[in-house]
Amino acid sequence: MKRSSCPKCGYALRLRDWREECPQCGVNMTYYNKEELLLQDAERAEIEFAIFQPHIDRAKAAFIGSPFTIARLVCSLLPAAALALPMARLHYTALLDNHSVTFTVVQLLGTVQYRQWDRVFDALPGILSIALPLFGALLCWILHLAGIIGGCTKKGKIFLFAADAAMLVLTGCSVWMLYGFVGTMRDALPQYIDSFTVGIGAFVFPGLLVLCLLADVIVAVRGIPVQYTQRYIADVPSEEYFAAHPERIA
Amino acid sequence: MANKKTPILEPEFDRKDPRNRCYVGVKETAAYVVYDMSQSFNINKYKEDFIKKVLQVDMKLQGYGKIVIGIWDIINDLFTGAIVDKARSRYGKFRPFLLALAVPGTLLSAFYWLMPLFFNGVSEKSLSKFFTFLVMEVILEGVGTFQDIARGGLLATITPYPKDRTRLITLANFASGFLGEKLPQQIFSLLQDAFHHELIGRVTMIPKLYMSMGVISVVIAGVGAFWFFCVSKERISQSEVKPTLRQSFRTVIHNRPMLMLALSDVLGSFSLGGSQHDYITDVLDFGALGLITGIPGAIVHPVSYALVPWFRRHFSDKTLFIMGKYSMDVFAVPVFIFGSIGGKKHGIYKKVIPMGIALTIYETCYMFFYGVRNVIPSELYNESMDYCEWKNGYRGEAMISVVKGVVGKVPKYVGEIANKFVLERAGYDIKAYVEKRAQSSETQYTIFALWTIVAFIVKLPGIIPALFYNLDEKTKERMYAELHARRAAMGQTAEADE
Repeated sequence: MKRSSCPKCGYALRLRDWREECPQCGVNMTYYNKEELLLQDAERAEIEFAIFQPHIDRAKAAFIGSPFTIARLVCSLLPAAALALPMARLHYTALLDNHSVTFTVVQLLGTVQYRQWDRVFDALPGILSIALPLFGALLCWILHLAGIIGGCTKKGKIFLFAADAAMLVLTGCSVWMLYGFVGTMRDALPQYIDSFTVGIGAFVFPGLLVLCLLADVIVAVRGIPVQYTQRYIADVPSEEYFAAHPERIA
Repeated sequence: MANKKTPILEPEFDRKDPRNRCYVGVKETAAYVVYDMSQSFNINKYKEDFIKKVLQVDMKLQGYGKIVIGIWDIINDLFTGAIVDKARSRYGKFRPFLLALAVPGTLLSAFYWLMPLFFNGVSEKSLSKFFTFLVMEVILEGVGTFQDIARGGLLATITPYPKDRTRLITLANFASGFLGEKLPQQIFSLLQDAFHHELIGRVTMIPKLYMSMGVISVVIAGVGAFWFFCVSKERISQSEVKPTLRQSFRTVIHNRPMLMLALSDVLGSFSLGGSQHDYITDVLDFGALGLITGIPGAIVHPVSYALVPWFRRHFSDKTLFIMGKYSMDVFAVPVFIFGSIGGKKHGIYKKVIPMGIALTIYETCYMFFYGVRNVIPSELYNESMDYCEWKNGYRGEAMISVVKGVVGKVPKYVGEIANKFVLERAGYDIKAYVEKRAQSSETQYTIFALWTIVAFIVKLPGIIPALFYNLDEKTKERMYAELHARRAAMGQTAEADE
């Protein structure tokens, strides 16, 4: 790590040299050459922003650069609404009483509480086989939301489509396992189960993920218009400045 | 199509003028945003609940504890401000305190949230529990005071000119929301409700939820803030002559902008400690309702920052300060009137759906002023620091913030102490939440009134001093021109002396 030095005599300061005055030449380091140091700070900051600004402009365009990107943003957020929809409904008779349970995505992911169900149905492995791919699909959905930031670049688009594909495959596995589980339980325990049906959430959630994918395809085909902000270093446009001082980009 | 270069040109102004330049680079700006996020990345909103329902300290003992902490708070503010104002080092005036206290502060805060582990099953009237809680509060209060004063000073000196400062404050307030500053609170309220209604886990897991979320959020926030303290710089030089304690007090009295802001804070801080959170957990029994009612507001939140320039073009800073500060309390009045229909026993205020709709409208309305509420007071505070330097030749960030803080804390503590006794008088049962029992109608209506109509009435006098804030655009123009010349002269004098 580069050590600080006195701005006047160049003495290499140690961590314990906490005073304002240089131990060697005695100058007050917080005042010496203050204006010059501030101008250097300003130049450095403006160079950094000039280099970083195109990334910000592209990220902004990827989110709200056109009506299609805004529509894509809305479609990407819609799957959150499906978290509250029922994936399955179970009506069963146990201990001489009727019970009904509605499984939502949140409850499926909170399968830890189903340890009490093991006593009746020994169902935990089956529920986990539904919950785990679903958890993976939700992670991919979060990655998809984060991936929109890079949506203007080639790598960003590849990342987005990869996340979409993973989301759909994992959700498909989860829904497939759900169908299988429902059928198995109905066949295995007909004396307890009155009805065990797949809920609307099992269709809506994958449907909304397909909508996300379609939105990504439409935006990729139409393209995203990016409006770049002109940055200046002092009075000089950044392109001219970097052309004159290419070493400053490093 | 992508990558089409259509540059957005900024309006014409002198880009070489130091007042219009940017001094804080990308890394430091990112660190500032992370730091701003870390200030809200906690579950301190539930701290009172933690003390009442998890640690279970008796309400009367809490009231006595608040008196001790309030007195200590005022005392330690005074000597802390004096210590900080006299500090000078090559690292800056404020950064050494922040760097030195970052790790101990985080460890102590983490221990605070773990206190229930050591007092599991102990009676709420236990004196050993109460004294441990009191000692922790006193220590954290002391550490927190150093950190608060130093933080305020660092933010006032991170850049010398208001344009760059406004950019930082606006960006930080806007972006920190997207980084998930409220995530611990949101996750906590969802899980708390889920455990309370046993949708996931059991109600007995709630204490563990408080402890784990408290510790995790404190550690993450501590790391984020520490990064900012490491990369930030103080860019405004302090005067070589250190102000005396008397001078520091006088700067507040003679610094009219600061005096008016301080008086407005004092008069506007009187409350009886009511909060929306207490209402939705203890009355509606639906802690996650705040998340749901906040959804439209969350959409308005980024728009509110985009509205700040529009507001500034049409209203003075003084008017915006008042609008931002009191919008929440003004909009709470119709909520109170609506909720009171039907009386104490059968009022609408007890019903989740109609009150959920009312709260959604309330939060959406005040969210339009959220940007103004966050940006303008910081701006005015920093301008008043510059005013102090302009008038007196020295900056007194620490003592000014101490005096302002001290006078603001008196009504705050009076309100919090009164809240304990008011709730005790109204029959608040501290065991009701964990035992899944409802509070009485009398208690519920008291809680509802405290955060709505009572808060509005007691805070209203704070508007009067704000009307006398006197830093207009002409004065600011002259002030910054003279400060720029004076700061340049200070640097030249240091070079010439050698």
